[in-house]
Amino acid sequence: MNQAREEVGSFLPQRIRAILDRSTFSLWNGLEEIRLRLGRPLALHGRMGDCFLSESGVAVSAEEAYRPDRDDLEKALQLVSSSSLYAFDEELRSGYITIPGGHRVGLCGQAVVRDGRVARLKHITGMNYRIARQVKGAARPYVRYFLDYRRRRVYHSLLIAPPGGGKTTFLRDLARCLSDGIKELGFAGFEVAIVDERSEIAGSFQGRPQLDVGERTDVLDACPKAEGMMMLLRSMGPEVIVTDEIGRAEDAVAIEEVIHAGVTVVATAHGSSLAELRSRPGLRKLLDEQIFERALILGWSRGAGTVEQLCDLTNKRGPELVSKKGWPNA
Amino acid sequence: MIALTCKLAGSLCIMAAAATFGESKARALTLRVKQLEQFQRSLKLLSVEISFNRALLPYAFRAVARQLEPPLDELYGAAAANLLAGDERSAKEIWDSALAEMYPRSSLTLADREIVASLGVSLGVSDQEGQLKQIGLTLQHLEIALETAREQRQRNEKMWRYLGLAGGATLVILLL
Repeated sequence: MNQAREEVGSFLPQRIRAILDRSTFSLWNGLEEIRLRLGRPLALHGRMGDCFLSESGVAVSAEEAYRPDRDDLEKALQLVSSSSLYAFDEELRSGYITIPGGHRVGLCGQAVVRDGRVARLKHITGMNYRIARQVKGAARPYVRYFLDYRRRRVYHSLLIAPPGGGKTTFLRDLARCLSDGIKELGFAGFEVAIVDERSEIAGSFQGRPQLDVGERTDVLDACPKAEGMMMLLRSMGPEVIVTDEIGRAEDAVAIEEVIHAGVTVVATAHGSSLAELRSRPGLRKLLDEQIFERALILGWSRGAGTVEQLCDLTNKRGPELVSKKGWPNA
Repeated sequence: MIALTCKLAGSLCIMAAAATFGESKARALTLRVKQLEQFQRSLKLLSVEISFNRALLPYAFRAVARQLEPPLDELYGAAAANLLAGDERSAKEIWDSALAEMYPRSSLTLADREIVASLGVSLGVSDQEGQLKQIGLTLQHLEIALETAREQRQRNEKMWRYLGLAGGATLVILLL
């Protein structure tokens, strides 16, 4: 946890950092979010719940809490952007900036609209430092269900979960396992390529992955999914293409293209069941054509990232391979 | 005899000193033009770093510093180092302090210094378009300063050299 403290700490304004340092309880353990809102209480959110911090680093009521001012937010933005806002035009449009370590800082303020589209944010009034935590080994017990030993390949797979359900965490670890190979399972690793449109999977900073995504993995950072998949297909000769949150029509077209080229697709989608996904036009086509061979559904029933169901879609009855298991180390 | 030798030696010293003075004045004019040209070059490099490479400011500065000669490389080098150090000063404050440090070692005039400082105004706090506009604006001011600097050099370079020698000679004649 000290790693996150160091990584995130250096991007917090001095005053806020001092408050967190003064705090007596082991605050960084299980910390998930640090929220800075202009003139509103400094708030933390984590496994232990929510709390407001006073200037002396004690958990207090909203009235006594420290309230970040304009200067704090300006300094924070300056640190997060390395004094180079111009390099973050794209990020200011999408509302977050990734910092070293793969942590993300969400931004809120006033949108500048140009030609009907959000051009950027200005007057930043809220920042949310979201601490990335890699759960290594999250996918390890399930890797074998994704391997097609007969044809020495990985099954086309779809990971399904509601927001915050642990999709990306699982996907990242699955990519790492597939790329590194697992001796006990008798495979040496595949050439993996990740299209990381939102820099969430690999947490890249300046294009360089900050989280472990495997030894044989190429990461195409901040690239639109559909276009990125085609680029990787042509350029990097991958065996597995990994991407996050598919759902649009152009994603489906790109996925079909990838599959016809003999490359495996491993992707995630928002949702809580296969039936729910069928209601989305982009995904329905893929599901009707039975492109995916494995579906993994993650949920909350035993804490974040519970594997609710792992289905074999090639079989008409869709037998469950696994159901209801928490992460081994969660 | 000894007195004559002393006088001769003395006058030589005076002549040399005066000539050096004139020379240094002339050199300063040349150096100013050179340094302004270097700054002009640095701005063009910086705009490439910002628009094409999308480099973060400290890395952009470092890349620019590598392609410059002293003392301007120090200006960008020091600013880059301070930005990387991650203290809480804004990019403008860091730019100003690096400039204050470099200025005494440069041949720039106070007016030139203002132009260099003007680059810092929106440094790192506006979008790419704004950043490039600011660089363009600085380049415009620089163009004018460079023109006068070149003119002055042409007009005054030789004058300072002659003036140095002539002044030395006058002083020697007066003292003899």
